[in-house]
Amino acid sequence: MTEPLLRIEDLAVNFDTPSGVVKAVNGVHLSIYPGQTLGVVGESGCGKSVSALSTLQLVPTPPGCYERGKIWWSAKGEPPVDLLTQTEKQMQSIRGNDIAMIFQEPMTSLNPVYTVGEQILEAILLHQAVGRAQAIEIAVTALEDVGIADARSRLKTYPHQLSGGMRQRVMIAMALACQPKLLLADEPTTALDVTIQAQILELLRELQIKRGMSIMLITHDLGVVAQNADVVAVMYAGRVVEYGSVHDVFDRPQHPYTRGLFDSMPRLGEEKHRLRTIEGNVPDPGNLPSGCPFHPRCRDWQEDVQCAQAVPPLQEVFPRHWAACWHGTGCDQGNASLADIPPVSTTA
Amino acid sequence: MQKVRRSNWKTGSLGWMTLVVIVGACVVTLPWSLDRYDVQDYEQVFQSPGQLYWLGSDELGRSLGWRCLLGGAISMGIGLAAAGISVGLGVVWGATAGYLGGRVDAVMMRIVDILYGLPYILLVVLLNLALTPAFTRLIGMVFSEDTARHVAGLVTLLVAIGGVSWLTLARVIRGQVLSLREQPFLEAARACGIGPVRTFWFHLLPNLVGPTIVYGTLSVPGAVLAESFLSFLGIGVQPPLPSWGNLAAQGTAQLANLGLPGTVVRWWLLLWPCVLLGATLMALNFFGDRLRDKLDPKTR
Repeated sequence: MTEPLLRIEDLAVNFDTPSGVVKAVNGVHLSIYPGQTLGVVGESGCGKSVSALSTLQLVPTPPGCYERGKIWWSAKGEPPVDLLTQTEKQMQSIRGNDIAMIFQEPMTSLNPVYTVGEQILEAILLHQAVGRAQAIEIAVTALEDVGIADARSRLKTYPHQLSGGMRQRVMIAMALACQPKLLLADEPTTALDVTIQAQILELLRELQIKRGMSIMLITHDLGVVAQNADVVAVMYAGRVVEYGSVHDVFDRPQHPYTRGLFDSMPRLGEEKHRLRTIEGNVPDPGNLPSGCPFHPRCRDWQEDVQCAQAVPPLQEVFPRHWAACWHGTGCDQGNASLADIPPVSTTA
Repeated sequence: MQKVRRSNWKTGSLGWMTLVVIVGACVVTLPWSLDRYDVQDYEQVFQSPGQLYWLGSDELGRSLGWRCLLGGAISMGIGLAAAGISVGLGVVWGATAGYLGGRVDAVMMRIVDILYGLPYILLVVLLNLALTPAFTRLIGMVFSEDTARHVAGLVTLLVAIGGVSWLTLARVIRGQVLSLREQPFLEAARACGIGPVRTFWFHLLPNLVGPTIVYGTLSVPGAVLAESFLSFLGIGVQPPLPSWGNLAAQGTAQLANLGLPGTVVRWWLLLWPCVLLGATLMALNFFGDRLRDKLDPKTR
């Protein structure tokens, strides 16, 4: 099996707030392989975005602080480097060039005082050794690639002249202009309406196949994950609680939280009944419950199991399907070894 | 809403036109007014406005018309230059404090608070005292001693006014930067690999152009008024150089023994400089307000 492009190992990020230390990310393991889409799902505040931002060292420090962990980045043919130990200067040449990021709010992610063209050109000129004329050609191609008609004259428009979907396309064009190997998409379609959302996701899929890049797709929409991701990581309270290929996780969810998520989703063609909810609220990340952070809301919680005492490690419950639960249904079937080693991918 | 906007437009264009007429007249006539502002004619003292002197003459028989024109040029020049200094200093100071944040921000803004707390006349007088000799020596290297003394006085004055009036602008700009700093496009710029220095100059500062122009324009009348006020008090532009402020002061002095039997009311000495100053200040304010409506996205 090939080396992962990006491997996050036991990442923990804290935020120092006036009301105490908030553990936003608390021991995350993730790997992304070349050409693969990793879907990261979870509720607001479960650490999805912070994990992605950490990859580019974009978490503001202070108040943020990289408590522990490694983020191994292995570009083609080179030994892996830990992105968390890179200097700001080194990170600047990685950001936008090797790893690009697109954000949730296309309406405000473009600088209102510059034309679209100027902003794309800036990114190109920064990372590629090309002249201005050549950069304009690259920018035009990039805009055409994201399906913007009449790209050459669009270069001269200002962000406020474009609709939300168009702006997100521009953001994608900008992110992809330098041919990054990994795209971090932080809820790229949340602010868009459903038809545009489908178009943007379709576009990302096409571009991924064309360029063979990897995508880390952060979302809270399970439907988006089902359609677009190869591998899915379900996060809860700063940890990955379930991890496996989309088919495995969707067919036989192992963690009670994942099952709760599926139960709370309406399905087409199914008899109408009241949807089941997950009781309670997301725990305050500044004051996590003892043991498994999910146990106070867990339907399967039994007093006799060690749920309230110790944090369950991510275990391989089925081959290449991991879950962090003390009494996962598959526990006895799989090789219940502790996953000290970071989980590896299902398929390449 | 429509109505409010239209009336705004009218006062805006009225301000604009008044400004062009007065400033244009003062600037275009500079070559002549510089020549004649100090020509004295003892046969013609205290002439009321008429054929010989359109705006009357003063106690030394100098033409008030020429003195008002040159005074206007000096007042506006000092006002503009002082506003320029205050904009430059205020933007750099406020933007730096807001962008760096944290302890640097706290220290920089406390300095502003302290300066804010000091009486501003005192600061101007102190700056005046401290800077005049240095400027005189500096300018004396190029010009004759007499010219140097005059020019140094003016330069000191505008530096002093500018050096005091940047405080408000620094606060305004810092506030703008604090809200801009949280905008996603700055994070997006970082995520593109753009360094913090470049982000500051090319992504943050251009977004401040609107508010800066508006507050800059609105600080011009403040500076003109400050100059006139200081000149009125006698610590501003020094005679024989005129400014609207010291012209008005001289006019007031002539009214000192008003009411005593046999005194003549020489109203023109006070009226013209005051009317010109008032009209210009109002025009500048209207113009600035109009500009704010145009450029400020919140009122657009």
